[in-house]
Amino acid sequence: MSADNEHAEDGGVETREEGAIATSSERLVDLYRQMALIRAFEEACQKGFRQGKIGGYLHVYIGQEAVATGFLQAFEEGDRIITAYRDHAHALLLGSDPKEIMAELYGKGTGLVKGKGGSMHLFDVERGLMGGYGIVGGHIPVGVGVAYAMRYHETDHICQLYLGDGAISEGAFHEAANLAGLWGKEGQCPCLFIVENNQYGMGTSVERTTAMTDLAAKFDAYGIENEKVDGMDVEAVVEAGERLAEKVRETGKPYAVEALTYRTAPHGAADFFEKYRTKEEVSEWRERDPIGMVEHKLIENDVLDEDEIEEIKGEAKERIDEAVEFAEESDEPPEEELYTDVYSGEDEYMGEA
Amino acid sequence: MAETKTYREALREAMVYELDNDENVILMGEDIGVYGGTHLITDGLYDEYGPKRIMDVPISENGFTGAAIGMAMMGMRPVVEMMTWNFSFLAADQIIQNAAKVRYFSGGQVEVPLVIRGPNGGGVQLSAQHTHSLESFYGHFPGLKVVAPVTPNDVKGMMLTAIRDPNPVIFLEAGALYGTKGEVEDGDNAVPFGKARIAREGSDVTLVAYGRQVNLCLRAADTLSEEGFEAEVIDLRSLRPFDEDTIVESVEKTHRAVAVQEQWRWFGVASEVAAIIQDRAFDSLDAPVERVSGAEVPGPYARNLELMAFPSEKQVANAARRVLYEEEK
Amino acid sequence: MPEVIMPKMGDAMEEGTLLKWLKSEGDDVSEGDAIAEIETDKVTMELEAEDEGTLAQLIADEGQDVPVGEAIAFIQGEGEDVPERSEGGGEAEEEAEEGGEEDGGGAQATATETEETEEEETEEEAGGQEADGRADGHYRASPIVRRLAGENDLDLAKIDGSGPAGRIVERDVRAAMESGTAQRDEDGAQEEDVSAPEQPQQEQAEMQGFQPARLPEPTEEPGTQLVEPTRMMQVIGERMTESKQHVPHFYATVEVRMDVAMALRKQLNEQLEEEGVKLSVNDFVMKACAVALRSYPNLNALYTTRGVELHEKVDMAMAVALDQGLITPVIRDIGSKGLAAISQESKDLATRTRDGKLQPDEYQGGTITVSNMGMFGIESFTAIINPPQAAIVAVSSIARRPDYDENGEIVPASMMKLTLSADHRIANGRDGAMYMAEVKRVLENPVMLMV
Repeated sequence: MSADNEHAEDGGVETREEGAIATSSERLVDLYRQMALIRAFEEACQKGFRQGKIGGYLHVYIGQEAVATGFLQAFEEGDRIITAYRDHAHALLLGSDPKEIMAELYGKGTGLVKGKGGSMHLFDVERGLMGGYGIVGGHIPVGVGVAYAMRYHETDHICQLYLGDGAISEGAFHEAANLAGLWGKEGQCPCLFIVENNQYGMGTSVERTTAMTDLAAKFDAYGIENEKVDGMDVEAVVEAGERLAEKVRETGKPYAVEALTYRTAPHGAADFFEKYRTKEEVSEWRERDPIGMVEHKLIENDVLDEDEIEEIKGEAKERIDEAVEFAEESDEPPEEELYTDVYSGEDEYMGEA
Repeated sequence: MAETKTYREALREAMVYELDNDENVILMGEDIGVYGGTHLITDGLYDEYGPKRIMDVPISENGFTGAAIGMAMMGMRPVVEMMTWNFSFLAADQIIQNAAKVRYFSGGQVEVPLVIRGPNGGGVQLSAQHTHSLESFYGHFPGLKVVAPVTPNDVKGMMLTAIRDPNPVIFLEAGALYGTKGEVEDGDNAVPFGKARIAREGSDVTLVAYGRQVNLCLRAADTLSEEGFEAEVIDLRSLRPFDEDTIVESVEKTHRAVAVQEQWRWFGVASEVAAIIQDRAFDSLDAPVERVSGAEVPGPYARNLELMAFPSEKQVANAARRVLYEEEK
Repeated sequence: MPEVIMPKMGDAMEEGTLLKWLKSEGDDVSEGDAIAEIETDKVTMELEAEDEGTLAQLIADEGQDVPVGEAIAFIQGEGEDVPERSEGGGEAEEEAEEGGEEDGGGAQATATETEETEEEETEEEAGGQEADGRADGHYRASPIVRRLAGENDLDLAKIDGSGPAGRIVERDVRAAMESGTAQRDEDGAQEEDVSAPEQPQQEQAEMQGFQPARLPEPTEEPGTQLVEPTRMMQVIGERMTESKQHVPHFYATVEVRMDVAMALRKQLNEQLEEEGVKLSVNDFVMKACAVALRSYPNLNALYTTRGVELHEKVDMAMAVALDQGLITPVIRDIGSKGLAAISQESKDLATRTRDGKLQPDEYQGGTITVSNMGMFGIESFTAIINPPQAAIVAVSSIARRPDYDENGEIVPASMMKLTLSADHRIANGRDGAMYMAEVKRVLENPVMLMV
C-alpha cells in the first residue's frame, strides 16, 4: 500500500474514536440502502456503456459511495451542491429520479437535463444540485460564488463543493480557495469543500502530481480550516459531514475536508485499469469497500441477515432496472430542442435554424 | 433631456442607475473599490455602496469570474470589470466553458445574468500582450452576447440593457475613448441589443464598423464626400446578436461595402459582414466587399509600427475607392 | 498637316458633341477663327482654329459625339497634301461618272461582307484568347449589373466594362441605360439573356452557337496599332451584327446586260448637259428597283412589332460611305420621280452626307436600300439588310465581256450583277427571284424607266 494509503488509514483512525459513532441500526440500514442504489445504478451504467447505449464519457462512483452518501446526510433544503463530472451519486442522493438520470445518460428527451448534458452535467436545481461540470477545477470558483450569494441574500444555507484530488493542481482551485478564505473572513462564504481523494487523477497518483500530498493542508495557505475523514467509512463521513456543515452554516466561513477514498472501478468506462495500479492494490481496497464494510457490520451486529441484504440489493436493482427500461423506452429529444436553452429570455436562439 | 458627458461618466451612470434599481447588482473587479478603478470608471462608488456591492478582488481572473458566474446562477447580477480585456484569457475557461454553456447543458435550469466589461482594443503603445480586440473571439461562442458601443449615449444605454439581460454579456468598451464627450440621454435610455446604428447616412458606399473604428469611418466618409461620394457608416454596436438587416438594407441602397475592424483579419467580424452581404445582398453588389483590418502581427510597441498595425483612415478611404472603382489615393 | 481635335474642356470630360460646323471644307481659316460649335455636358462653346490654312477635311458629322483628342478636321497649310481618303467631295463625283453613285471605303465592308467571311471570323474569334471580360461567353459583370440588365432588358454584350479585367460595373450599365445603347433587340431576348437567373439559358445558347463573340485582348506587339472604334463604327457594328444574327437573309443574283441602258444614259446626258444634269448608272438602278417594286410590293416593307408593314411609296435609302462608316440618306417616293430629279437629289444627299450636313430625317425611314460598289470593279457581293427593311440590292461593276445575242452569236456586252438580300420572314425565295427578274427586265428595257 502506498504512503498515501497509510496516511489515509492514519487519517481514518484519527477521525474516529472507538464508540464515537453509534449510528442507530435503522440509520445504518438506510445508509446501506442509499449506497446500494448508487452501486446498482453505476453497474447498470457500465453495462449500458458496454452495450453502446450510453455515449461520451462515463465516470462511475463505485468504491466512493460513502463520501457523497455521508456528506449529503447533512443536506438541508436550500443548500446547494456542486461537483465535477462524477456526479450520478449526488443526484441520486438528492432525490432526483433514477429514471430521469438514466434517461439522461441514454440521451433521451426525458433525461434530467433534456438530453443536453449527459453523464457529466446532471442538474437538479430544484433539489439543490447546481450541476456536474466537465472541466477539472472549473466549477470550484462557481461553487464559491454560489456560497457567496447565499450570504449576500442573507440566508443560512451552505454550499457543498465536491472536488477531486486532481483539481488541487488547477489554478482555478487556488484562486477560488483564496477567494473563499478571503470572503470567509467576513463570514460571507459558507462553502464546505469536500476533496474526494480517490488517489488518482485519471491514471496519475497524487504523489506523482504534488510534493506535498496532504491535500487538506493545501487549504491552510488560504486560511481555511480543514481535516481528513476516512471516505470508505460512511459512519465517519456522516459524523464529519453533520458536524462541519453545521459549523459552516453558523460561521459563514469555508471549511475543507479531505475524504480519503478509492475508486475500485476504472476512471472512465474505457480506462487502462492496470497500467497505473496493481491488482493487489485494487483488491486490498476492495476489502475496505464502503458497502461491503456496512454489509459486514449489519450482519455481524445481527441487524440484517443475508436474505434481508439480498432483498435490499434486489430492491435497488429492481428500481434501476425500471430506470433502464424507462431510459430505453423514452424518445430522443425532439429536434427543436437543439435550439432551445442557448439563451435565456427572448433570444433563446440567435443562429439560423 | 440630454446632457454632454464623457464616455466614462455615461458608463458609470448606467451602473449607478442599476445599483440603485436592483439590490442584486454588484460590481466586482481588481482595484475598482478603494482605488477607484484603474480607469476611474467606478471612482467614488465604494464609498457610496460599500464593500459588499463594490467588491475589490484579488488578481485572479479565473477565480472571481467563476465566482461571479456562481453568484449569477443564484440570482445576483454581477458586473465584473476586466481591468483590460487582455486579462480575460485567464478567465476564458469560466466565460466560455461555464457562463456561455451552463444554461444549455443544464437543460435550461439556470441562467447567468452576468456582465463582464472593460476596455477593449489597443492603440496606446501597450505592445503585444495588452493589445487585443476580442469581439470575434467571444462572438464565436453561442450563449454569450457581445456588444461594443462607441458613443457615450450608447455605452450608457447598452450597459443598462446588459445588466438587465438574463444572459452573460461581454461588454467591450472603447478604452481609448473614455474621455470623449457626447450627448447622453437622461434617465433610462436602454438601447436594445441586435440593432445597429446608422452613424451617417449615405448613398454610394456602406462602411460597416463598431467600436473605435466607427470614428475612423466617419472621418473617411468626410474625405470621400469631398470627392463626391457619400458613405453610409453603420455602427454595429452589437455583435451577438447581430443586426444583419441594417447592413443588407444599406447595401441594397449603396451596392458597395467596406467592413472595418481593428482586430486581425482572419476569422474576424469583417469576414462575417462580408459573408452576410454576399449571402443576402448578392444581387445588389457592384463590387466585392472589402475588409480593412489590423496587420497580422502581435501589437508592436513603437508608435510608427503601431500606427501601421491598425486600420487607418487612408486605408478605409482607399478600400471605399476600390469598391467605387475609383483611383486610390 | 495639323489636325483639329476634340478639345478637353473640363476635368471629367471624355467626349464632346460636334454641334455645328461654322466653316466648310475648302474655306480658308486663320488662327483664332471659330470653325465649329462644341457641346460638352457642361458648356457649349466655339472651337477656334489653332493653325492657318485651308479647312481640308471635316471628319466629324454634326451631332456626332467625338472622344476627347480625336481629330474632327484637318487644316491644310500651304504646300501640304490632303491626307489620302477614299471619298471626298470631288472624288465622289468622279466615281459617280464612272460607275454610278457609289459608296466605298473600308468601312462599307462592315456592312457588306459576304456571309462566308463573317462566319469564318466568328469561328476564329471563338477559338481565340479568353482574357476579355466576356470570356467563355460569361460576362464579367457585378451582381447588381446582372440584376439591372435583367430588369431593364439590356444586352451586356453591348456594354464595355470599366472595372478590373473588363468587369462591367454599375456605372457602366447606368451610362448605357442613359444613352440607350444597350437595349436588347426583341429577338435576342430569348437567345442571349445574360441576367443571372438566366445563366443556364446563356450556356445553352452558347452551345447552339449564339454566344457573343469572344474578343481577344490586344496583343500590343510591335508593329501593331490599336484603332478604337468611333461611335459611328460601334453603332454600325451593332446594327449589322444584330441584322446578320437575327434577320434570316436569303440571296438572289441576276446578271443584267446594260448596253441599252448605257446607250440611253449617254444620250440623255448629252441632252441634259446644259441643265448640268449627269445621270449615273446608280440612278438607273435605283429607279429600276423602284419600278419593279410596283409588281412586287412585298419587298417594300418593314418588319414591325405587330407584323409586316407594306409601303406604297418607295423611300429608297442609298448607302454612302464615309471614312469611318457609312450613312444611308433616303430619296423619298423615288417611284414618282424622274431620272433627272433622282440624279440631282442623290448627288445632293451624297455631298451633304460627306459634309456632315444631313438632318436626321434625311437618313431615317427608308423602305429599301441600294448599295453600290461598282466603282471598285467588284464583280459581285452581297449586302446585309438594313433593319427593319425587307431588302437591300447590292450593285456591282459593269464589265465588258462576251455574251450571246438572240441569234446565238457571241457579241461584246456590258454585264452587271445585282444581288438581292431579303428577309425571309417577309418574303420567300420566289418573291425575291421574280422581283430581281423584273429589275433585270426593266434595266434591259430602259424605256420602262420613263413610264
